[in-house]
Amino acid sequence: MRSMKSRDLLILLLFVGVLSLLPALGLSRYVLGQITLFILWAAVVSQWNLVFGVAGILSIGHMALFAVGGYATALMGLYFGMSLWWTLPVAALAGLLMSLVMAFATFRLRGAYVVVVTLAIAMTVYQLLVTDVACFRQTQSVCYSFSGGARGLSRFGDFGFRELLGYSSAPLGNFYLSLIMLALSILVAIMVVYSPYGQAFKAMRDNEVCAASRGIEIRKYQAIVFAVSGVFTGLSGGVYAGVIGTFGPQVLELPTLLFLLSMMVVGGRGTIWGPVVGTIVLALIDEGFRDLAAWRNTAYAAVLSIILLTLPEGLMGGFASLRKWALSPRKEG
Amino acid sequence: MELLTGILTSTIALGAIYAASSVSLALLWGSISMLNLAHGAMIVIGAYGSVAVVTGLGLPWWTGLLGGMIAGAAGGLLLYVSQVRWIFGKANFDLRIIILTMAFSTIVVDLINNLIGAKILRQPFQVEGRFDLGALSIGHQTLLVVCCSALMVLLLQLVVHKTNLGRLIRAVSQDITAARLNGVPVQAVIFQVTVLAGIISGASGVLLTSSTTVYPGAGFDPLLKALIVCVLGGLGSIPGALAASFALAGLETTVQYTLGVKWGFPVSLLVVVLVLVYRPTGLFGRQELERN
Amino acid sequence: MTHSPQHLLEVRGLTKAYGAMKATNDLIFHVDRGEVLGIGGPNGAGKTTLFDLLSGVTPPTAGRILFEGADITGLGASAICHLGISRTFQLNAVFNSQTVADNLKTCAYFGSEKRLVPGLSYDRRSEIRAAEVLDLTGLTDYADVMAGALPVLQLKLLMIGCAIVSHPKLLLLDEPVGGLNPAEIETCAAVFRQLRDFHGTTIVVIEHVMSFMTAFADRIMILHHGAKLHEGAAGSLADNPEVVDVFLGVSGAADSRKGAQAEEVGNATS
Repeated sequence: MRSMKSRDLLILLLFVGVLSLLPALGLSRYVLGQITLFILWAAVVSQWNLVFGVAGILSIGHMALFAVGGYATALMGLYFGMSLWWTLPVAALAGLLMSLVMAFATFRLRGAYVVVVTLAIAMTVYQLLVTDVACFRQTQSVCYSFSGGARGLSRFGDFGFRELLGYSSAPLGNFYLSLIMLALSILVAIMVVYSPYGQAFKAMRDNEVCAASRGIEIRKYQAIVFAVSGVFTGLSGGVYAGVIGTFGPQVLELPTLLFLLSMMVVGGRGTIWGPVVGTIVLALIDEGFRDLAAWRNTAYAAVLSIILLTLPEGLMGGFASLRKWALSPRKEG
Repeated sequence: MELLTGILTSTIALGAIYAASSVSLALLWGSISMLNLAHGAMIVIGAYGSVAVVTGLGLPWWTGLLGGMIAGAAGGLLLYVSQVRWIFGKANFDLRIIILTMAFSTIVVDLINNLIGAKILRQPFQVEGRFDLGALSIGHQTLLVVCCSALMVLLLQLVVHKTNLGRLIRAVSQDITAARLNGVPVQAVIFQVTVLAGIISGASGVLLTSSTTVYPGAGFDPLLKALIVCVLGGLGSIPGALAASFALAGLETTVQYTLGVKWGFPVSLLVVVLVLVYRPTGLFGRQELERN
Repeated sequence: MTHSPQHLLEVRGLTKAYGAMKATNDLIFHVDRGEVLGIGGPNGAGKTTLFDLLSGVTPPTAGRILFEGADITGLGASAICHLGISRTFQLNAVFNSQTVADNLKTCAYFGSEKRLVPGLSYDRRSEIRAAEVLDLTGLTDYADVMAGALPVLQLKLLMIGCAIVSHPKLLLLDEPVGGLNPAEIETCAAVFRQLRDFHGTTIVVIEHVMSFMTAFADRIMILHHGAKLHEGAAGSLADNPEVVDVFLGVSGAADSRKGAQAEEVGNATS
């Protein structure tokens, strides 16, 4: 197991190294922006994978953790005018608190009940945001609600890359910040999965009663996996808000949920690199359907369906099976 | 006094709609452990089916319900053929079907958006007029919806408890291996259950949208409500879904009348979560000790 | 209240009711340090339910469970594991997605003590314990095999290994040799005898294979409809007509006598 951990750490190093060289290819502003976006999605899905894939807790409300992180950053930037860097710890904390809400709500629940309750919690957050129409601030004739309502928030500041690097290089700053976020997210995932914590999560997923009987305190580790993913997902939300410049309830809508869920499932849930592989595939599909935007959702829903019907362990599972088949001894004669 | 009668009539109307909407979910989960997140899509398909039959074909208004049921049946058929048939009985069916039905739903909404358009339509399955009995005022439409919902639930209970199909469904839900060994044509039963669920979902879609409007995303909120109702009542229990429908409708209506419309769902969810803390499988759910 | 000497496990009036049905009905028995108690009975007699109660998987409806004199009634499964009670399961229960070695290390790490703040890697002691059990169960060659891919005997040995790697004082074995051929039964029996003789583990074993149980157990308790039908020395089973009627049958009675005699012979010659 120790060698597998070293292998994955090495892959991470190479992966981040290769990505960090991308801007040298002279990519357009648009392409760089898209890559930045998908880097952040990969960071989120890697953390979601810890709960959903590694620990086997079927939470589909993960975007609520992302949303509270993003809103924490946006709100603090908007109402306190502070540099967004200071809001990041708050975003992480917001993610942590929201994740503990989910953990406590689902402590005694299993399977489909977890699916429904976590989905409902995320949708409640969405509804509360979208129905927030009461006037909080008034500028001349325009009424602004506290959270921005359905439109969300914008003009709450950024990470100051324009001042630091100049206008044309500002996207580079966003890109490298996002890359750091992804590296951190995957690093945490590797450290967790190969530690006793990860073994406890996998044990819970494989056979909960057996895990408990072998001394694993189920609720404690449920809380821990939610908390860890909450911190880093909330943080990703904060980074996203500062990088993209706007943040609204769209991140909680069903198409976004399915989009991110697809990344995890297509790649292969429960594996370290599944989320990354899935994100790359979904990014390609997304780009491919840029002109056929109306069918974009159908495209990845179809890919997701095909993968689930044919390769239930996702692409990573497919690679593993292929490897096993290639390495298996051939029969003589 | 008027507040109370208002809450009461709203509760009955809303509860009936929730009941009609959630029994289809309860049926599928109870019989084949399938959490059908395409239920929302079936609702929408049914709603548009009604519009197609009445507005499109020019048939009388009451055929809308039949149109919805036929459309729902088609939806169920499609769901079976494209998804359920292939992975039922295989590893991780429970989880895979949840995600697959979500994908199904997404595709259906996209199809409607792109082929029919996002224009908001009116549900033709309607009657005008109200009954006024002193302080009590009930719309004819409300009564129609309540009656149709009740009828649907009754028919479902009849099918499940009095017909041969119902017997087979119960056999499959109790022990699938035993059912197979006893010669029950499992795939055929599952096919029929899925189509039956589609019919009910489609019909409930017509009833639901008769008091609101028809648009591509009309299925999501009802889906969420139905999920909550079923979870509260105990996944798989049809009587549980019925009880939970009215309980939740009452709670939501009371909260909406007192605290405001937007707090209806959050408070209801909070109550459901608290109930689940004490009864993790819902009020009437199966308490199974899983040793994996 | 004083007990001297103290029973390792004492069960007083233990009941588990599901509505009107009593899966466990007012059970009273005890297990002493170092002995092997066998539990038999027809299907549905409540044997596994009893284990679920003892191991904290299910809370009792009434009654008390005392372990080393302390009341452990109602404690959760992980707490009971940390106190020194381990169990195996009727349906093979291991962590399928992990290797044999990792299974043992995980169980060694989490089973031996309550980990308040787990570290980021296993401690030396858990690794040593895992290696010891790997050896004891003869699974050394399978160390890097995924648990889900193991053949039946190795799967059972792994499950037993995971249960004992935390050095339990009391080991509950739920039908450990069911479905094995005689050679495989002997392999497992050898492991159990080692535990009993060299490690002083107290064992409670549920089994249907009467020849194995009467050879291995010191005392046997027969359950029927959740209540105690018979309790006594291994050889005494066949002498109780009710036991023969309800459970053993004629051939079973012969088996149990044979098993008891074999154990006596074994004890006399060793």
